[in-house]
Amino acid sequence: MNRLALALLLVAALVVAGCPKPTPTETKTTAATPSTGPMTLTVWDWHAADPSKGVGLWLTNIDREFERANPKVKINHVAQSHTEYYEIFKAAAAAASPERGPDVVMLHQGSRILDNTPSLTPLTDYVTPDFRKKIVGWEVTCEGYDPNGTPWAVPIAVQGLVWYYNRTLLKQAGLDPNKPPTTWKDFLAACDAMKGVGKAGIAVGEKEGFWSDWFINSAYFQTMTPQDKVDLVAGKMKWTDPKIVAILERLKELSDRGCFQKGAMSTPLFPDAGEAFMRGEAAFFLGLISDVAHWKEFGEMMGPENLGIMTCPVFQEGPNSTKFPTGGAFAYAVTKWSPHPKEAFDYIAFVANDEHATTFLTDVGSFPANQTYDRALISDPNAKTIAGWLAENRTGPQMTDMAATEVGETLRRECQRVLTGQTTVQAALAAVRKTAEEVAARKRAGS
Amino acid sequence: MSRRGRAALMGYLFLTPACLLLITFRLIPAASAVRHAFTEWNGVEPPRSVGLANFGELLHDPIFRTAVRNNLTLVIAVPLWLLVSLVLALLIHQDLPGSRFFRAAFFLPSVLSPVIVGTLFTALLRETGPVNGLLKLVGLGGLAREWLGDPQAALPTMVLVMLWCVFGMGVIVFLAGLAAVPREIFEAARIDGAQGWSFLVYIVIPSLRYVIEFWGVNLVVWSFTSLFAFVFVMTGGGPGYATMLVEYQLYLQAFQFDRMGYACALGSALFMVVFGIVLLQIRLMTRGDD
Repeated sequence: MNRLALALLLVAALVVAGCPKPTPTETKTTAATPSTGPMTLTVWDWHAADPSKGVGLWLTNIDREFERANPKVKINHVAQSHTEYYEIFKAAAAAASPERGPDVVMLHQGSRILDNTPSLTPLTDYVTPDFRKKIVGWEVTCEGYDPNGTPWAVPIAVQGLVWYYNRTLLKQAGLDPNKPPTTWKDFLAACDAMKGVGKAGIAVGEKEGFWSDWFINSAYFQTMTPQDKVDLVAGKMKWTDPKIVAILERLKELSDRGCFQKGAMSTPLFPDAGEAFMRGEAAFFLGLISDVAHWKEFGEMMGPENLGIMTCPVFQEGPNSTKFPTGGAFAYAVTKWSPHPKEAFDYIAFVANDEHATTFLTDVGSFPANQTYDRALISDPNAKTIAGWLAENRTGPQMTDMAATEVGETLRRECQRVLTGQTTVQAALAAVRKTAEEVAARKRAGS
Repeated sequence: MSRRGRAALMGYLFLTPACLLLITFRLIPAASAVRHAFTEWNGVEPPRSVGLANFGELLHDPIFRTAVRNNLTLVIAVPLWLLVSLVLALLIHQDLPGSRFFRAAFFLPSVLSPVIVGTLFTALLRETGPVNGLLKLVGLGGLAREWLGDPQAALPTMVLVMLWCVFGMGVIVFLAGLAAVPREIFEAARIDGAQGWSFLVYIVIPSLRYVIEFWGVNLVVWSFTSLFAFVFVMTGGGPGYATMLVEYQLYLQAFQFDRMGYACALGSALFMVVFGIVLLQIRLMTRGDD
């Protein structure tokens, strides 16, 4: 019996130790102290892992420039894994002190910033009106998703979702490559035509549920007004509203009609679905405008002349139906425990300055949040189109960026269930609504 | 001090480092997790006491119920995992030609990281992957499917992948057990005419009872607490919640939704479930020992 007790005790220890390990609960903060002597600013991001190209190289060069301009400051740039970035950041926040942990952190715009405000310094005292004016994207880095609210982070890049299409495949299927389908009916017909030539309509990667999320963001302008979005976040509009049901019905229609490539439900969005599009296995791809899976990557692989760009096919006419969503790009924030908040903000402002906005476009191939960049430097036809749309203000914030992380996760999983026939659109949205209400109730109880 | 007292002191001294490690890295965090199960806590701000609210929420959480059901499906698969290992160990124990090779080959998957195994099988099981290709080649194309993207097939597929990963270790454990059984027992049983199923049920299993008990308990605990990496790499708990396990839900609550308090309640509930099942399992297997 003693052996049995000992065995059970060991099992108990092994199982319960699987729980998250609580860490000290005090968030150690100190008032900012004037910094006159040599100092090191620690910067965290997920792009610095490869400093030989892309954003990593761009940031490495900026670090060196900043150090030359500020001889007393040394930049310690730390690359963190993108996959576990927020877990690591939370662990750092729980254990942080002025001596340890980052001063500057890269965060995704939207709920990732607003969920982490207890660990950040408000930038109200540092962001000047002029600085605010030339940068776009404040609505997804400020308190209450209000562009004039307390700024918690500075947008560095502009990210967005647009539809790419393969001109060669459209031609093969007897369609006009210069006139991509703009209506929903024509789009479905184009997907059918693709099947006729042995290709898929859309390259989809739904293993993580992100494609559904992107589709909803791409299509929501057709049924929802900007005020609807605000009401949804505030809980005044429900997730079961017919305007949202209509979007998910279209998503289901695409699946039911066989528009996706085979194996879409177990295909990762990055990089597999994008690669399937580049290999010419599908005619359409809902992709990004910056960083990866975008015009530069596709253009280099397929040739820019074979690549076309469009917004979401229209199933419901409206004043905003040809808009495309922006948001989810990266921003930089100052941590709450940083002993050098002013210098940390100076570094962020240096990254976001006019000169670096231009090099961000020319060297990285991504759109900067600072809109003072020289548009004449854009040579790629698809990038020119995107820049034109941005200049025309044919954009709006992503819808799901504003949802709490838990609500977004429920939405993605419920969409997977809809696409695999496990539930109906109405039941799926009822589950999302329930989660949203629970999150709101907890927030009220906590405050 | 007497010689016996000195020996006891030495024994305790040798045990001290292991006990300290166990207390520091297992028992104290475990106790702290149980304490935080009664709080609402985001991991950064001070926890706020909520009494039994987290456990009340658990009872009404449909995702938790799905996750427990999926975990229990894995527990139901444990006899299959045991049986496959036992039968293969018996075959190797017969000293058949090539048995050394098979022993090494069977053990190989056990030393692979779950991440590698998960990545490997994710590629093999794709809609356009080799498994479906092979099925079509042998005329069984009707069985081909999106193994990890089909909610009906995803969990059973993962059970088989986990079997592939763990059976080799089971073979080694059972071979060690068989080596300790006097050969005369098996020879006498054969002379008395025991063969096939009766040999397995009446001779082998009773002879290996404690080894089977040990490995069975290990597999049950493993199925509840060590499959995170498989789920993370292969399905992310999807499609929907089709392969959601309690430990993956715990990860989501703790590190994606910042609900450390609820995650601690999940961990405590997980412990209770595993504790109950293991207790029942040991009771059943030691029945009649006295």
